[in-house]
Amino acid sequence: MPTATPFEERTAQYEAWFDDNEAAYRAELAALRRLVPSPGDGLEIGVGSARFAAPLGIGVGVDPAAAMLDIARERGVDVVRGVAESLPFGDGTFDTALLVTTICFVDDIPRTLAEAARVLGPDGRLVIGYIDKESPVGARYLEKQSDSPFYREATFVSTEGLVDALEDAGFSEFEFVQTLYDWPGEADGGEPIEPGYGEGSFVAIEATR
Amino acid sequence: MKESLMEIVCCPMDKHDLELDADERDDGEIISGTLTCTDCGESYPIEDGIPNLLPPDMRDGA
Repeated sequence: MPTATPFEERTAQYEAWFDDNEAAYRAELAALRRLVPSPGDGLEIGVGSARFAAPLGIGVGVDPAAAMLDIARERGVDVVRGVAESLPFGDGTFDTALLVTTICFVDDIPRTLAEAARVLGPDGRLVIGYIDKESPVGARYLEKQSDSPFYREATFVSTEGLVDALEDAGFSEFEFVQTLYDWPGEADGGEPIEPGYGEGSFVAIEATR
Repeated sequence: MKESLMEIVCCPMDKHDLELDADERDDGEIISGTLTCTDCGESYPIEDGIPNLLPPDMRDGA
């Protein structure tokens, strides 16, 4: 679980990203809201400080980093310490499972997706938001990866690779939205949310069975 | 943690139900205590109001 360490030790720096890049954060949130207008019983896996779970109305969050969970709890989310590959929730518990810029930090993507599928009801939806490594800005993230204490140990994914892994986990229907066409610090608040993928650096997939 | 969370949490290893043994409560929240798997017997601590349901080999000091 090596990637949890920077999130335990650098909560202030993590929180500051959202304030320093507010236009990018707002665009990511708007893209996710397009796919999750109402979550029902929701779980965010890798909830961090609940920057996404709280505004989207997701009630429960799980994360390995206790320092993040202290903040998430203050934002009104019920929190549990745990890992994506071994979720501590019963089968079919949730209507929505959300993973936002988390898939790049998990140790085992197939196990993570299988666990997400397990805790969802038969009509449940898995929504994954991530930096698409094959987008123009995603490629710059890869170049600058070693500069960031958070992204240093990340494994960025492509949309095609993620869809293949979702199909292996039993998902068959997919809807995509994208946003962020500029470097996050350069986003000016006018970032459109478009269907599909390939242009935006932030892509969200809604996967159902 | 709220006691209502007991309806959805389970053992991260074998997914069986957990039994709650609360040591300290405050305003309806469980502040400290233990969650024990009804099948494998593994116990998980509730620390500062947050249940620690990490797999046992990933816990602090493990």
